[in-house]
Amino acid sequence: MGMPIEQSKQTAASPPDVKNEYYEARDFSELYDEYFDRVNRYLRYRVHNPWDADDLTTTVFLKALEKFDQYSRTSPFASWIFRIAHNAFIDFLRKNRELPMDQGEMFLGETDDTWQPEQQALSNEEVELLKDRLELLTQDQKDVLTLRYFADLKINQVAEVLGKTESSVKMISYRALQRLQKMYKEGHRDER
Amino acid sequence: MSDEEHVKQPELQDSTISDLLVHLQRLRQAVPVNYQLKAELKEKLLQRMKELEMSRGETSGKSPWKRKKFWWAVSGIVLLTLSAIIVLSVADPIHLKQQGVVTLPADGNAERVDLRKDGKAIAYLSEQHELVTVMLDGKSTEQHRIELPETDGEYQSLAWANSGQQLAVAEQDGAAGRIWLIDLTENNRSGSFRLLLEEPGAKVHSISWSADDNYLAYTKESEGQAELWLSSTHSFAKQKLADGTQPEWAPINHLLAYVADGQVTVIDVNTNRSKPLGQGTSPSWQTAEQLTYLANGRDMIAVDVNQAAEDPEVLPLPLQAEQSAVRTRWSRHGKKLLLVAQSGKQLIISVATR
Repeated sequence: MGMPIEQSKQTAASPPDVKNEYYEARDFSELYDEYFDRVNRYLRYRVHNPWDADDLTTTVFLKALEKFDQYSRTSPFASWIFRIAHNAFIDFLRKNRELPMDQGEMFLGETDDTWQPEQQALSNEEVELLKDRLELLTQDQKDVLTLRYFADLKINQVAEVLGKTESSVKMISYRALQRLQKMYKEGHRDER
Repeated sequence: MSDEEHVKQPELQDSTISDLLVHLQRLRQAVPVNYQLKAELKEKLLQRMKELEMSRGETSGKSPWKRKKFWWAVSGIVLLTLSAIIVLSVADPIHLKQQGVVTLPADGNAERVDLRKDGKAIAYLSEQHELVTVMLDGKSTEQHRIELPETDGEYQSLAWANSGQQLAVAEQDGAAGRIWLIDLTENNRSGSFRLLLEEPGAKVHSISWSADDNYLAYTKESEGQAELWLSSTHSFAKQKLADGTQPEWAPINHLLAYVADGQVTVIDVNTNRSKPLGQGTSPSWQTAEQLTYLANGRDMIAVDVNQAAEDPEVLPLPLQAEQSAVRTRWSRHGKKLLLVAQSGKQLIISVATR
């Protein structure tokens, strides 16, 4: 997976006495350009209704802008923005009853030319099948896998977003992948 | 038998997990991004940024720099005492090279320590969720401490991979046994870890790496039954090999020594044909053909697995009167021997040569 390279630049904006430590020097606009896709994709996957996901994405970045001066540039922006995104998603779940999932609406019915052409890379049946199987995982397992594979976060960043230890995240990820693997081998869609 | 021979375990060649990860990546790509929103929202954010700047009356976009420093204290229990190299000129075929490199509490498992295959370092599990590596480079015994995964379990045994760059560590968390793999960085200073397997309702211990490091053999104990299992180190694939414990993979892939009903046995993992060698514990391969095991607390037996074990060689161990050997591990080519001996309430870890 093409994991984005976290910025660790030593630029003119970096304090001169800091060496070999993480420092995020980019401004909000640059970070927005990089992280919008990941946040939007993560929320579109989690929320299912694309309009709600887009509203949430807007909320996340507006909130991030308001709080940007609280962001410590010595920790990865990915962890910070996804903590906001994940909390926004949890709040959304609390406030709203999730709409029944509509696979066609979510993944396959889109004809907007501005959307990515690679969406057809997986066949409709495969997408539905994998999506069905992911939905059978526990909430913790879904949180970890979606942050890892949809938001493209590293394990330590997933741990930070979810407030868990790295080993706990690894155990959850292990069990989730093992369960998915079992479903693959058994070839069924309705296990719970 | 040749070094080119490999484990033929089709059940352990599992591509499901890699397929699954590819599908997850594709599914991610199948989730569309709303680029129209991206453009519109950016306009809105830029506008908002201007408003914020104006309302704050600030011109600088710099955030205050907060510097964090993390100081890691090294705990104070010093277990390492290096004694002088003792070269014994008696007829004893095994000589102590470094005695008492590490001392551990006797209630600790003797499997908590292992010798790197090149014989230049040992690793042991400390009491506090730490892996400690000790370099055996001449007079130096430099130590590095690596934090193990933070769990509620207890770490009980470890095994150094043949490459020297990975370690497998067994953890027991209540009824669940787990094996973690630790990738070491240069000079063993730190490591990343991943969960290789979890066995609910079972205890896992006695880990051994295959010569190519692609497989692990381990003991799985549940309901009083000890079984030998093989696991791929790259996927979730695993399978039972035999009943027994203390697996020890030979320098050629397909032979495995283990202990079943008190008998040291060698099994060919490709054919499942096994051969008992004699009563003993702690088998370890000195060479591809030569296997040693502890016959009692004082002597080691050496046998050539290709020969009939009619007249095995007895090797007295260089132990003090009050010491009793509980575990031995050879380095590659049998150059060095890790010797774990119990002495009262302590486990004395020494390095010997033959």
